[in-house]
Amino acid sequence: MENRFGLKDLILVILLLGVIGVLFLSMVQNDRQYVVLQRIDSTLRQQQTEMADLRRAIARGVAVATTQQQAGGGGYDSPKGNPFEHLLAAEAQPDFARGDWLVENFGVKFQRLTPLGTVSDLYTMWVQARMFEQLCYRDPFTLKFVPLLATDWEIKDNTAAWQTYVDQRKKVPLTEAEILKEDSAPAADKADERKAYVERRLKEGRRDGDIGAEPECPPAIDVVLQLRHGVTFSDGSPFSADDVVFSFDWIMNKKVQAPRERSYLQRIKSVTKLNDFAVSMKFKEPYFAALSVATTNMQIMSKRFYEAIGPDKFNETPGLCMGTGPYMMKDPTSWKPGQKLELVRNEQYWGERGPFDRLVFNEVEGESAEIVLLRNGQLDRLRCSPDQYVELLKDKNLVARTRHFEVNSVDGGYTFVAWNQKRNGKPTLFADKRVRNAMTLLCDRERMGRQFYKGYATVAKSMFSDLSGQSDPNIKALPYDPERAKAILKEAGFADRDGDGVIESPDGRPFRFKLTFKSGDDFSKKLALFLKDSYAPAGIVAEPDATDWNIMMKNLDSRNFDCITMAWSADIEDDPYQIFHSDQIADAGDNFISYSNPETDRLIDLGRRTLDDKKRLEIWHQLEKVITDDQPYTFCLERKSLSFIDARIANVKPSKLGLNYNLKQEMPVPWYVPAAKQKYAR
Amino acid sequence: MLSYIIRRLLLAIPTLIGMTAVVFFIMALSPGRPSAILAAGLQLKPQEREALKRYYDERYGLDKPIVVQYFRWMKKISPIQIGPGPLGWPWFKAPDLGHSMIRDRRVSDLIKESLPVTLLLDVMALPLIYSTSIWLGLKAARHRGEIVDVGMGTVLLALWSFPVILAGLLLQGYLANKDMLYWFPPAELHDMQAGGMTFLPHHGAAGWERGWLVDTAWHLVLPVICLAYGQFAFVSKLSRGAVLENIGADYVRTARAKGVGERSVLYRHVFRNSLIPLITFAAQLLPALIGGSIVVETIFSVSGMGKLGIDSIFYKDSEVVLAIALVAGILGLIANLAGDILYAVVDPRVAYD
Repeated sequence: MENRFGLKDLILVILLLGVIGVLFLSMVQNDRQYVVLQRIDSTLRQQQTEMADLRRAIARGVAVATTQQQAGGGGYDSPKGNPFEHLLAAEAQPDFARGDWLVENFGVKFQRLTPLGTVSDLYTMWVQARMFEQLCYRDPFTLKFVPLLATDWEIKDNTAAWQTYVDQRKKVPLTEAEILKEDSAPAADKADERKAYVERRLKEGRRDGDIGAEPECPPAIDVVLQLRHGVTFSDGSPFSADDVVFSFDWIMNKKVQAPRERSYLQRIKSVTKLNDFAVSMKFKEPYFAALSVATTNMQIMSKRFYEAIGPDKFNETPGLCMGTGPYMMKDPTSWKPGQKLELVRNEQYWGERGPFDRLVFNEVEGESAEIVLLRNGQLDRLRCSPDQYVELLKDKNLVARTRHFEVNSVDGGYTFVAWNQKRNGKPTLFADKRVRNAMTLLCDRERMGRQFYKGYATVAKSMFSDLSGQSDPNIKALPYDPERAKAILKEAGFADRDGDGVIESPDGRPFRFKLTFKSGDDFSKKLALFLKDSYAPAGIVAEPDATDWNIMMKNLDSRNFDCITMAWSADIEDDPYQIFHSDQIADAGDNFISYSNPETDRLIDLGRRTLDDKKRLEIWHQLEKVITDDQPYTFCLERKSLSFIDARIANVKPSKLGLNYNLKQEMPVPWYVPAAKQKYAR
Repeated sequence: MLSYIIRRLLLAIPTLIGMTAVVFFIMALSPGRPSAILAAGLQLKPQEREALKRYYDERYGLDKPIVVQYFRWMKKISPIQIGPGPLGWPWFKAPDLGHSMIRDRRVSDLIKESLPVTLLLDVMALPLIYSTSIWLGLKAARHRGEIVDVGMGTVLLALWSFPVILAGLLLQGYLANKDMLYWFPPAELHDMQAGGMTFLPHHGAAGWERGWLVDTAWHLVLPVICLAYGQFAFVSKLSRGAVLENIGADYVRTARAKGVGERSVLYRHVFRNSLIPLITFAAQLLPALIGGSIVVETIFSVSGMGKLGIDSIFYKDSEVVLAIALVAGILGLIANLAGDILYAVVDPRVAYD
């Protein structure tokens, strides 16, 4: 009989392999169960020890909190406020319950959860903000600083002493040797750039920030912070001033990869420990947002945990999370990208425990998939574009199952059209502010909002937001007035002298330019065409120019463009230095329109130094008036953020920072799900 | 045969070098800066861009001339080392695929994670494509000219013309939607609670639990359908053509005259002789499936090589793109070599010496 390997034998072999595979998987399953059992065992033992400690402590006698402490604040009140105010208010609701999961979806795959690092996309930071805490956060309704890991602070304004020293030092001329030692000096192998840099620096002279960094210079501002007692990290170890000092030193350590955070904290000269629960942060130069930099730009990391790991392993490992926050990873060291991202409630949290048992972060990319998830009830929050929003609102089932919100946020930023005033060393047509004013008057921004954002956007009158008080309510945005625009252009000497339908400047240049926008984006293309149509009636020809993002960035740096449409995001109190100060024109700085007005410069410098809030806001109002007059950008729209939230989640309210649970910040989660509506078991 | 294989493997090396050089220089010569600055895009505050820019220049040598950058990369991935290597062995070191700029992780880790996912999808799709198409092709050849043949040809052609993007979205919208038919899940390869599942289905306290294996299989159905449906037309036509060619041959007439059953004639004699064009196609299909799954991976949000590649190209993450080109090239060359070896196995007339 022939001994051929036939189809029956193939099927037998496959079945056999299948059985072996299943056996193998069962063994792996067993191992997993064993690991979980071990973890349960060690947790139980730890609890036994803690119970014994408690028993002994009570037997010895313990001081009980006074009634003053207990009254309403839950024991968290401090001179500057109560961090759990909103959560405690929610707890007082009759249907409040702890439990259930909050399922979110950011359309990215997470690559790294260890803090700092070069991969700091927004969504990673939002997840980290649940596990780590900062010294303060901003109340979403009042925008005031709320003490979290700090309890009190004092800002000592030392500007006078600092100024004396700086003035003295400025009299000493700068030498080339000192210039070449600066951080931003080009590397040794770029001789031309070095020469140009040295020349420019010699003209500039000593800079305030550099003098402020010198050890003998008195600090311009000294922020003294009192820290909270009784705070613990998620492994139970206590928090103290050492951790705050460590967090700062770690970021400044050049071996740690944290170029972004380092650039934020550049202004701080040093963070020193005054005692176990107090630190002093000294600043190199006076800066209006000193408190913000000191308390909301640095996540507090555990010294004990991270120092033992060391910079090299810290840079390489993606899953090292040991913070003080209300949520934590089940295992603070072993997360790898590709594993499901779930945070569990930190049961040992020092403050009011979080309402949700778990925070689940899905990584599903693609609009269509996300919408299907929302429809299936497998997603609790969906942020959408205006078109999607309008479409989804038509679905009655969906609207019944969710709540929808349209909110403006103080740091939502704005879209704009930037007019380049100098190209190749020569002033462009936009160098004349009358022309820029005319361009703004020609643009019907309200219609832009209705057409492109389906009405979910408000006209921006300047770079400052109405919600923060930084913008002057008395200043109004320029109206849509094409007739006035035409009159202004005529007055500036523009007219169609050769009858071709295109107006010419006084020196004969036809008013044609390229309108640059990001390619690959249908939305931007339509916007560019809208702008083109807005300018055409006045005899201005705008040619839409779709440019690849890479190339666009390059052209911005080399100032090689006519006008560009983009968007900036903002801060709660925005610092206009980077974009509008004439210092930032050179060196591929972000004043890429080469806008220079001595009055603007003066007001920006003054505003940045003024620590008194009221006086400073007045300066910003004056600045806004100058900018409105100058129109360096045509400020277009402030977009609303649109979202659907599953209806079972309670206590969802709009606030000045978007919704009252603002993902960007390290703040207590004020949302909850009443017991009757909870969907997920522990 | 052995000398043939060795010759092919040695020839692969200059091929790979040439291929990576072309990929590298095209990327480097196109304008724009690589790096995470672009990844962060509009969300970056102005002051951060400067800091990141200098950091990347220093770390990856982005400010050096491109030829220098290419040789730097070649040095990293070559297993040959001038001077003693890290393990103390002279002239050999482990090739280092590099470091991804925008993800801040080693490229080898990234590939280790995404390649199995893509391969899983392909390994599920290939047998499906082949078994279905071959069976259909054989049927069509047997009943040539009849309704079965013509109808099948039309239907399969229609499927081939249907764009994958639309198919994926429709499947997701209709078959994965709780408001419509909820036969399959809408996205990804694992359930939200898959981490806590057992591998095999079991009946627990909370009722019947699917188990990790069945859950993965359930998630795989839609992506594999999307990957496979377009290929039926081609392969079935191919096999139909090959079978038709052989069905008129003399040896088939002899076999029939001998009294061998029709089924035996078809499956045992004709089919084996028609395999060659199918093997050729299979050798080319594998690399195509690796690249072509980009659309499917995007729609169903599966992180495989396609997604990795497209994102890296967009952000000009050169080390990742080169590593993917290298991996895809190696796989393609291996597939072609395997195809050639299979010819020799299948057809005794083919000899390489």
